[in-house]
Amino acid sequence: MKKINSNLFNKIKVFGLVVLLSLFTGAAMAQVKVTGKVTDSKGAAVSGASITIKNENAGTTSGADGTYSLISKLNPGKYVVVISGIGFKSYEQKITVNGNDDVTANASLKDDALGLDEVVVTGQIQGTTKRQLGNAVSQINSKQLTQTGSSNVLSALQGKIAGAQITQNSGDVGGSMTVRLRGVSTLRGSSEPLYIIDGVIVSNATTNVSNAPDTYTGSGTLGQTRLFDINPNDIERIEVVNGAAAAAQFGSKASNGVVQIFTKRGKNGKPQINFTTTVMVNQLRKKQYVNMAGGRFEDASRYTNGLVYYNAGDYNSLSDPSISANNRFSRLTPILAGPSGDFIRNVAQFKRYDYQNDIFRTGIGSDNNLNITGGNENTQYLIAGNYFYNQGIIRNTDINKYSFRVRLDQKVTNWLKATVGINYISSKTSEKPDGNSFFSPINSVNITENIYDINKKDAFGKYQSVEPVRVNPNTVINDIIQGQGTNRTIADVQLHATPTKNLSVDYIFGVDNFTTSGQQFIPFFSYPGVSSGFYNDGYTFNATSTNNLINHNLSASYRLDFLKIIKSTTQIGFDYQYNSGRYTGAEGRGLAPFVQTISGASTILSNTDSRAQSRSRGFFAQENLNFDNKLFVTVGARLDGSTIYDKAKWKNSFFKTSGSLVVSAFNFWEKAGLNNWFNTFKIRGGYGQSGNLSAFGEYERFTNYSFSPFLGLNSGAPTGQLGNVDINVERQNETEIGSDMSFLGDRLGIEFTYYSKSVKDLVINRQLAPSSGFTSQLNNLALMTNKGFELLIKGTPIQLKNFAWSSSFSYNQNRNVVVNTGAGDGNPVFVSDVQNQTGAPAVVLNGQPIGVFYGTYYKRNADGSIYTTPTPYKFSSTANIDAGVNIPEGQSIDPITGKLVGAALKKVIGNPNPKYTFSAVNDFTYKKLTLHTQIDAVQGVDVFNADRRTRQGVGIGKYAEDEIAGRLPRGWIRSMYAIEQFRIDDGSFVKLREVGLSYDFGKLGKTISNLTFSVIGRNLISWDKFDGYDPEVNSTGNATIARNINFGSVPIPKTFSFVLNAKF
Amino acid sequence: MKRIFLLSGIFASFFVAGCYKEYKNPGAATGAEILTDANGLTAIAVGIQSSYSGVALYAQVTISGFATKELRLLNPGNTAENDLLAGGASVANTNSRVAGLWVAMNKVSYNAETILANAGIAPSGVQEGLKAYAYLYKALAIGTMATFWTDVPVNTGTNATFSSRNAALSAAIDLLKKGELLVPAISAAFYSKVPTGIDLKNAIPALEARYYNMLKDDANALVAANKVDLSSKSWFAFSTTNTNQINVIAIGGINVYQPNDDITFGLPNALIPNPADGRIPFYTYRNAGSASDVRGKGFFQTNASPIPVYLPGEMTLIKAESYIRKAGADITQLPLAVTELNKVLTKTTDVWGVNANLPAYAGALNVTAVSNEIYRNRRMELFMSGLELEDCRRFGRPGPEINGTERNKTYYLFPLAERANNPNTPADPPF
Repeated sequence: MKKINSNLFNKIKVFGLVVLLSLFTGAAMAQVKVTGKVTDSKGAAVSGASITIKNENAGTTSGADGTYSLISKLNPGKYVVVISGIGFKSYEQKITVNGNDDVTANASLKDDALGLDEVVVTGQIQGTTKRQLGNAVSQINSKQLTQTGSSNVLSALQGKIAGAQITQNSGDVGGSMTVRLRGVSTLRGSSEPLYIIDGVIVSNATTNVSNAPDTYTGSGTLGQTRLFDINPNDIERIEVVNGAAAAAQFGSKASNGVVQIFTKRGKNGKPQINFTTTVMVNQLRKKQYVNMAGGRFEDASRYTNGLVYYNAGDYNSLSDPSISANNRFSRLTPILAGPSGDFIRNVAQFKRYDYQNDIFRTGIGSDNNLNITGGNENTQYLIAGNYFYNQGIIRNTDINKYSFRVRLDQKVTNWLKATVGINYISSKTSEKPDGNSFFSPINSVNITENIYDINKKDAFGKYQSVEPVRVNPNTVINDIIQGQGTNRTIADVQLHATPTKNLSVDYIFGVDNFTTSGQQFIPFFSYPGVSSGFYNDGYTFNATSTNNLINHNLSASYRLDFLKIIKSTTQIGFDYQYNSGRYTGAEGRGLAPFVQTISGASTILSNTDSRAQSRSRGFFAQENLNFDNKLFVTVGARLDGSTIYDKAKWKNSFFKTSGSLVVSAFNFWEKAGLNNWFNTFKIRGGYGQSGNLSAFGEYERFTNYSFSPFLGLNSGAPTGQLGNVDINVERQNETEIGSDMSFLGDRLGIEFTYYSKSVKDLVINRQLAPSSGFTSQLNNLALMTNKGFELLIKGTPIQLKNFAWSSSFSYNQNRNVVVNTGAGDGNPVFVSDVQNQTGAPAVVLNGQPIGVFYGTYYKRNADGSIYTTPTPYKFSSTANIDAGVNIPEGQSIDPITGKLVGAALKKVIGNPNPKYTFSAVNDFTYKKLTLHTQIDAVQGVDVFNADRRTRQGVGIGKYAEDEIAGRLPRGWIRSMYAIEQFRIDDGSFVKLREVGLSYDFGKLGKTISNLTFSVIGRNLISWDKFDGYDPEVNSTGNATIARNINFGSVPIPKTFSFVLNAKF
Repeated sequence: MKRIFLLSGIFASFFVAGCYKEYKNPGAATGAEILTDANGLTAIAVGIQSSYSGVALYAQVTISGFATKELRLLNPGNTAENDLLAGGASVANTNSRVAGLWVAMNKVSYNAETILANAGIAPSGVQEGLKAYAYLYKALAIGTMATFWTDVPVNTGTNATFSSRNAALSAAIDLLKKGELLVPAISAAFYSKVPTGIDLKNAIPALEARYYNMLKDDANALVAANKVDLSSKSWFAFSTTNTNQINVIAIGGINVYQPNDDITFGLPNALIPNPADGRIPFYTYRNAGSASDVRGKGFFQTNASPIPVYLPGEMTLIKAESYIRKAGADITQLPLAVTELNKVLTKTTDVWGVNANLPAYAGALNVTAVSNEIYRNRRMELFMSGLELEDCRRFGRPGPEINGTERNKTYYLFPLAERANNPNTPADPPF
């Protein structure tokens, strides 16, 4: 089999060469200059429009004033100039070339609701138009990205891509973003799409370099997602292909979809300066409810008279022997139980505080962008710079980022163009520990009863202790030092050759290099009582992650017209990729005073040095046929190889096919008079296969023996995972069908797509019987399906001379199911490593959507109502819980012992996958004033709200207040602790994501060619029923399976931005 | 032509770059590699100790301690411990501590088998050491499983078969005997490659005595226990980096559990210890003098405190127990039992400092009374050793079978991971 494969591969290689070489023929032509101006329907200049000559390789873009100039070698004769721009219908003008005479071709472009004539390149070599595609494609332009009030490119995309769910995982300055296109398509790997910037595959890795690995092991995928480095202001447009269209071009990397980003480029003409300055104000959108009533369960013997004040530091004074340790211990979570004996029922009065005031603040920031473009017919350049500073809403957190970008396009000869681009980014954040620990800002508040004056300092000016074990929130805010910095360079060199009229050859060499370094420093706590698990003796961690991605891409495209109406485009290509990564880190505890580095640690906890490299390569061929602009058919195939597979298994082939039929282009359509109101009717469909290279690591196919020091010796053991050299690619098959329609003179457009994806050979770390000596083994065992549809309606309901209203509405739904988990029916595969940290029972269960919550649930009466205990029950031999509380299904009160008996039953109690999402964008323009609004909704979704229970147990939540006040039976919360369903919360929300008002001053004086001022609000309002800050939350960061968990994450702030843009 | 050369040159370079290359992981060895290197095998031997004495040892002490009322849970948010405290049906087959112990013991067993199968490549002297070490730990793994489960997979493998705990204990004793024969041939070179602490010459017969005692094979238990030099010490060593997990998780961390009290030690009223017992202050102290905030110390005082593999007192009490069982049929053995018991009661010079320092036994001279006294002393002497559950069962103390309250569980359910993936998994015990 191996032999056949490699022979086949060689044959394809040879075939490719022969085809290429046979096409290198050329003819001499005259040099012709085509000039013109592109305007919109109101006569305003359109910049960035694409101008090409049909069936020729020549092309350019219009400058800021709408003018262009295109020089090409053309034989005398008739040609068609095609002019297209994003948001406009393409425009064709016939020209006649006579010798060397200059030709003029002006264009007035009409608005296009569907963007069917916008140029699309993803999945193609040569650009094609959306009209021809058999697959849905979303396009986002620079204007849509800069009116969002976000400086993160991924959050700026929220609500703008059909079929995508984009989630901001937290409001942390170092927080991550998660993008899911048509759901999840792997269990073990990344479900993030493939990101390509100007043809270069870039990393969107999420690596934790700043949070104590000891504490956070298995609590998800923490860290910044690296697309954070990309500046939205640098982007000209983005293309998103959710599905199979990209299969042939990206094959084994494309199963999560592809996001292609195109950055701004230089333009013909005098230097143009574009300056944008933004001031941001970030605030906590909504405070969490805190129990401020004075009551507290407290021992009757001591606290019966009057209001009790606790000061931070009281823990110290309690070494006073006159106060018994019994009372001291009773201070910890008296709601749940006393030190011994029965639950405390006596209530004493305490002063309570709202610690939220101590950790949150209003953060301000600024974002400054400058870019200069210019050039002539042969050379165009862009120089851009950005400086960004923003404060988090958690005190003492901020981001500093600057970046430079240069893009140079040079015509080398009349058949060869070269371009080079370099983007350098440097960023630095000051952070606080991530949510998943009790020494994070939010959790230190959630886990500490609010009866201490935490601002009180001791004689040395240091913060003082709160209750035993816990950390004073002020220590977290003021004393823990944490942050990370990244230096990154993304560079590319590209050649575009047109050796003959019909042939074009492209070569891209791209590099993405980045190093992220971070550290966490927890000083020795100046007060006693802190848990050793929170590093009471001081802690330091530092880590560096270095990554190097190199990709080469070579492709050729040959166009041929025959039988007058058939146009063929044949494409072949090769690509090669090399990835290497290295992660080094060290952590230690027991710090010497004043020292923050690892050398100050008396105990080294871990010392990590991991390195990996891999390479992959692929060959592909694709054929597009266009029958008279009415029917379009594409077929493609790809052969991939990657070194993460065993040599015998390293090659994989992928196929795709798609077609579209433009029904409205046929004569009968016009004859029937349909085109008067039903302007475009296109039916499309596609099938494609793709894979995923991230489902397992470079060396995971082996049984690996890992080593670590043990008492000064080498200690070795196999990891729990048994090797499997037969492990192979996860293979996704996707079918989609859809339709694009436009009505009423293109003022109303509808796009509809139904898709069905199935990933077979899904890699699952299958559980083994421990008696095998191992606990798991990778297997291509499971099957996952995603089915759903995407609907997009765009239109311009009102278009008057001075007033316009444009609107778009998108609706998505996706249903995910996993089967064949290998765990047998009804047996959950727990994501055990995540479960430990937050108690979130996220599982993969046969026949259920990924990541459902599987746990204990409320006992119910026969009529379906929730059961409450009719009598008190014995919680322990000494503690009694009052009647009227909830208990788990499966348990009952034993009439003899008075205790709960029976095992609590478990079932699926929540689903983190939304039933549907929708977004609505409405823009109103009155003269030069524009109001922009975007509403995003995620509906029918559950959040595992771990904070909810913690806050009750600690005594600061609403239910705790009720139990203390006697409105709930004593022990209600304690009994509820056993019911995991209590932590399932409604995560549905509708958010006012963007609202902005901008005024276009136009030309001002002689120097400013255009001035715009905008005020933008982001995430201002959320309509939800969530018992916490924000249902848009993932304490597990960018994890694939364990989603929608709320455990001490920083909420997403509301942001006001004031933006001034000036062009010179 | 220039164009063609340029472009085909670029294309050609792709063919060269497109071949397979085997990248090696610089951070790990594969299973195939490690078995060919004697130093690799010694590293696995060290790894066995590391995995036996880590969280797995914590699990033994914790499961056994909560089953027999020795421990007090501080924070019910520790779900697995909370369920162990409740006992009975609350301890599901997914309990992470129980399942974790099962996984760790099978892993120890598997790694020991790996060493035994490949030790031949090591030079003589080292080879014997590797094998003896592997026999010791494999026996420990089997013995530990037999403490908590009714049936035990003696050898690892796909769809491993189970032996009854009695058969498994016999198999463990056979392994120990094989190891015992190799001890004289072990070279100093071997001892320099494994952690200090395990005195194979004494530890092996000590475990034989323990398992014979669990089988109630009194004659052999006496023979084995008598081989152990009571001044010898064997321990699991720790350091501030390779820490004593019972200290780190529970005793030092003050968030999971502490000893239940310093008055009953979890024993029923009839067996409440003498308040003057020196082992009370050895194992516990009162935080800030509070009777309700009793904390542990003993072998868990710091995160580097060594934990003994066996105690000399355990050997003496095994002898006492063997004699008293024999006394059931032959009353002349009773004084011998009392003699051994008194050695423990009056001990003041224990190598580990576990000194009861009490007067000699003055109770009734009948089998039941002496037997009860031996049980009480085992619970005092071997506090938080992980042996309490086995003792409670072996001495026939009232358990859940008869609504007894001295233990909340007799045997544990086979972990779900085993049941779901191994068709040979036996039926779960009723209690």
